[in-house]
Amino acid sequence: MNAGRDAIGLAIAIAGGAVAFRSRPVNKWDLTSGLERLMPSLVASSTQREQSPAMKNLSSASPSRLRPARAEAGLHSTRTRTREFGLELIQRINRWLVAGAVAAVGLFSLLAAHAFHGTFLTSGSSGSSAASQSRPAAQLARSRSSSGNSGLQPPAQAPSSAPAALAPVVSGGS
Amino acid sequence: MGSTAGSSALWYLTRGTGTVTLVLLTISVALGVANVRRLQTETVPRFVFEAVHRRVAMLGLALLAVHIVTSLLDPFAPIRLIDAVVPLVSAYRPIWLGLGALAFDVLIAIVMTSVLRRRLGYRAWRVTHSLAYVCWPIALVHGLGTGSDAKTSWMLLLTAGCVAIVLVAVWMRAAASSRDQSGIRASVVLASLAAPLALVVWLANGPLAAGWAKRAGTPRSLLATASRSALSSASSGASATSECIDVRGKRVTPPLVYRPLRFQGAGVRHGEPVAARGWGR
Repeated sequence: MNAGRDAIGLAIAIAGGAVAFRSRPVNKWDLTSGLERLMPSLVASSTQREQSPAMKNLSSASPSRLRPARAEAGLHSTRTRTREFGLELIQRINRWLVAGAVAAVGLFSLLAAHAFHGTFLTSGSSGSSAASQSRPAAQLARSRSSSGNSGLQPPAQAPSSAPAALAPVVSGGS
Repeated sequence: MGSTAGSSALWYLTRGTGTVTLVLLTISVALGVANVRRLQTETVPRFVFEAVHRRVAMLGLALLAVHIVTSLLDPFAPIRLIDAVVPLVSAYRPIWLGLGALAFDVLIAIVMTSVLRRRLGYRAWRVTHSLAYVCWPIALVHGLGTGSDAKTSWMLLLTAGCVAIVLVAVWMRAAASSRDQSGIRASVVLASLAAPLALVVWLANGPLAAGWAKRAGTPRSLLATASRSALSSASSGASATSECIDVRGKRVTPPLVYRPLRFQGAGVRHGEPVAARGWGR
């Protein structure tokens, strides 16, 4: 069972690799420059061998005509290298950009929290320990708005006079 | 308690993402100008500037989405989804929140036309893309008009830095323009000099002045809540228990009283309602 699964996986990997190899753009200038770097004499001899007699005559008659082609090849490889470097740079910048943006969001959120934040005090608790308990005022506001008490409402019953026994006591009296 | 922490976290995240979005938008505008000027170095080819410009804009858009979603989820300010898209319909600071909605709409248009650039054609894309020069100051003013951190020194410094970057980019662009566009160049330079001055004057008389919350269009119910909280907070003192009479005539204990810890940092002034999440600004 496992062997079969491995075989299927291997086949998929090989097929993927083949597709990737085929789809990979082949740059003849890259190949030429690579070969030149590896075996300069061999490449020189093979190019000489492949040349037709007419071309041989032409090249022997005017060797300077080959220079533009070589210069073009060099320029092309430089361009390829620059492009690859640019693509790598973009990837690197992209990674740093995302990481930096996330870090900056965290940093600015902390700064914002540090710069301006509020605490909700429960009544009856001391000021120092009040910060431990909190609740957004929006809940209060929302509950008020949902219950329809958007503004001041008249009292349910008329105010009555206080009984005499509960008359205010003036401090300092004997 | 958990919902409170979540609500506060949403509020902090809203402010953090808003700030970073402004920074990313600034970088994107500056890189766009640099790209227009065909800027390239020996080691960094031009298409890198172009790609980074695009990616910064997309990242800014993603953070803007987070900014909007957290604003909507935060139960504190009554912001609806339509407020984030349609300008001037919000009940909460309609003008300043509306500017944010407008900037969002313009940014969406810029990004969509950039994605469909080949189908639209160069001219249509360019006309829409030049709206970025309008989008950026709108977003800046939205941040200062609505943001809770407009009075903090770091936010002011950051805003000044963003303005400086865009000004330099605009001046570079104006300097590189052709000679037959001298009239446009002069008007751009004049506008770029006048705009920061106008911004400073508006800041001094607007968000940095007293009573901005009321003038900005904060709903009265929210201001009254903050005011009541301030009064209760002041009357309760450091350790006293505050009690009051509710609308039904019963003696009740107010459940919660809001009091900011940092009066200096929050920019709360005496005689104003205590700033509950920036309302008293």
